[in-house]
Amino acid sequence: MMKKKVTVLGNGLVGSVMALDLAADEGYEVTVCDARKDKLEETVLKSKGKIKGRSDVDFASPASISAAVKGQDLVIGAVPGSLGYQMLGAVIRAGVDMSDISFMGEDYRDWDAEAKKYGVTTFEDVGVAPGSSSVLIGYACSRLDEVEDVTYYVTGLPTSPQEPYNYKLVFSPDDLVEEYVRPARTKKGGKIVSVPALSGCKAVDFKIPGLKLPKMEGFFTDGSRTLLDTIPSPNVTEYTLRYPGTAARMEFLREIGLFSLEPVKINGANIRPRDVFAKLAYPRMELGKEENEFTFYYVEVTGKKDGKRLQYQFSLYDEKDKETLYPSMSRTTGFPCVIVGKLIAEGVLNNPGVNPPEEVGKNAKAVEIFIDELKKRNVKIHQNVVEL
Amino acid sequence: MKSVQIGGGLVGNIIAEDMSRDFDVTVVDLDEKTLGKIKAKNGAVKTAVCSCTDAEKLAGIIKDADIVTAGVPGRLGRRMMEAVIKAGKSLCDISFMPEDFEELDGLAKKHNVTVVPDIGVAPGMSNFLVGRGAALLDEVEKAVIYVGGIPEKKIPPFNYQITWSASDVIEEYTRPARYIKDFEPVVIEAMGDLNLEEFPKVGTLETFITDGLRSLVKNVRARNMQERTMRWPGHVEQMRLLRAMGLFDEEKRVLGGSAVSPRDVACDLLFPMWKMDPEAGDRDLTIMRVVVEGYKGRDYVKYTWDLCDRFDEKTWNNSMGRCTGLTCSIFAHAVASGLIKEKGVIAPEKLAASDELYDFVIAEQKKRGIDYIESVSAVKNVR
Repeated sequence: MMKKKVTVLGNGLVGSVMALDLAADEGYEVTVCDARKDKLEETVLKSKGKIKGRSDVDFASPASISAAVKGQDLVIGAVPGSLGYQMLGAVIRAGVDMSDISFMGEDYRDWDAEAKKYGVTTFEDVGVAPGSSSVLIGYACSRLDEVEDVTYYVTGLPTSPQEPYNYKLVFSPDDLVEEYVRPARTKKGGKIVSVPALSGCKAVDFKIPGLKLPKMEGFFTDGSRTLLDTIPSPNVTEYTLRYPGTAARMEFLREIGLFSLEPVKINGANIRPRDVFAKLAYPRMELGKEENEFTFYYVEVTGKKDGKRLQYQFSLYDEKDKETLYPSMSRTTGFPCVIVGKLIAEGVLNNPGVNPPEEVGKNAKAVEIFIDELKKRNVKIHQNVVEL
Repeated sequence: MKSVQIGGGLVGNIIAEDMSRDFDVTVVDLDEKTLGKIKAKNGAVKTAVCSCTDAEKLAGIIKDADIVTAGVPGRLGRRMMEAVIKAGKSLCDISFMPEDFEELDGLAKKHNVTVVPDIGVAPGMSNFLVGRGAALLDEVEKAVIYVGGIPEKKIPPFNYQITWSASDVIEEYTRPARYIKDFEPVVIEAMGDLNLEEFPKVGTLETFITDGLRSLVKNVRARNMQERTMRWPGHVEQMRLLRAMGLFDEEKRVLGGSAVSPRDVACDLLFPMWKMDPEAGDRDLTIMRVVVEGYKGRDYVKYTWDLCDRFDEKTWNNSMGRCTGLTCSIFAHAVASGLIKEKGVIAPEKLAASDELYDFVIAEQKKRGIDYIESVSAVKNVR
């Protein structure tokens, strides 16, 4: 059998995990592109030379990207969010399918017509949440005759919280503060409503067979993205989970202006309060190399099927890999992207256009393989359907 | 009779105003603008421009005074006090000096004058009432001062407002506090031993140990003695968070190319939010409770004094300023009229054994609308 050629764009925390995961499959020939040569070498070394590294591709240049991926069977996208939109266009125009976790601010569906024109299938936001949670939500929605409500809870936390933040960074610190500042969009009664960040706070205590979870609290965050308009549910709510007390603390810090980007004059110098927060807080939020952390989500999709009220419940749980020391956030973000990529490359998913991750859920066979592959990688998925 | 008030600040103003009912008052301050304002408000008051530490000039101004009252910045307090003593004048003082004022006791005795230091509300009435309880008991088992200046209405996010500087408050939230446990001084971290308690007229407040015992440590023998500060519930957790984050650190850090101390940032962020604005409807409350309990003969007796004072709508003087300034004025009256005869630098707790003085002070407070409500309970024949 001919090996499938795949190029991974971006060798960051998640990109490297994806490249190595792909390289473990004999059916794939992996090239990873990143300008940082030392990191590139690390990944190549870890793969025992199976991965080819390229540092000559300029992610800011669509032409450079198009040239690099032309002729490949698959692209895995893992570039910084700010470069994601242009990169997507460049890959489409090179005529290559892609599974992508580049978390762009723009609406990637702008490229849908272009992708259809080129006959290219891409799946976007294929991380953990959005990502695998969306796949499962899409799946549950497709099984129901009528969907009433979609509510999900998601988090990445250290297993041993430390005061005063009880939090460690598993993604960009600036995105963290944004979560505490930016109003959250949720869907209620068919309407998209904007609610203040950190609002809707409630205590949660999940009882999931086989999992021992700490007591946490959940509050609204702005992560629903395409789910607000792609799925046939009048209610869509995302909660982010933290150790209890976090929302009140962060709300307090926000109210006193510590997250403000407006400079204030202090002893004659212009200082942005958020920079002060960053300086004080970020170093203490760094996840230690050996420090354990976990990623978790819980999804509830409620609706009707054949006259019965049903609730689909899914959960995902993963901890830092004790051998590779890959953080669970990298694993649970990277694996869905790789799995969906392979489903495209192997023809299970054939959806010309630019697709949100929930679209995967409409393909029952793809969902079955998706869950199976996650389990193979020791990511714990729990599913349950209850009659209400 | 004549009196001189040194310091024309917020509280100095209230002292001068109250003294001027019975005395010809001269207010001394270095700032002419401040004096101008006082003059405009109360035409009967005379003013004099002078530094409170210019002993020579000050002596000239106070030479005809029957009594001197003072409220100056703490760091200038001792030099001012020394100057007044050397000029041969008696003094009632609210200046919050870091030094031990009792070191000037010998000097005051030598000049045959009476100096009552720390004579505001707390320190001040709090000392006087602890001293009162101690004088009424044979052995003090427990003396607790609860005191708080809080806004009448809880306004988020802080539920807190102040009438002075944010940096002084932050100091209170960072400096370890001393209290007495089993007759020995103990040090606890700032904002330590937090709990919730009920107070008349206001409801539940949180209380924590603060470093306000000052001269009481030396002058009152008690098995256990604490000063506790009160806030609306939740405030301490907020302040502990900011402290734990390092936002009260004074060490400078480089931020955006310039070195600033996190505490400066905190002050700049917090102070505008803490500022009490009567024009906007803000009103302050002064809540104080002094509990002194112990043995008297065979009985176990508990004395409690409760104060709940509110912003004065007539004068627009804030409550904390009134409770502080009027106490100083009342004691100045007592010294001038000969009710207090002792010479030396005498902390308020040492004056409290006199029934006559105690009755005078409580009655005068009441006349000014400030009610200290005393209650007594006793368990008979416990030993």
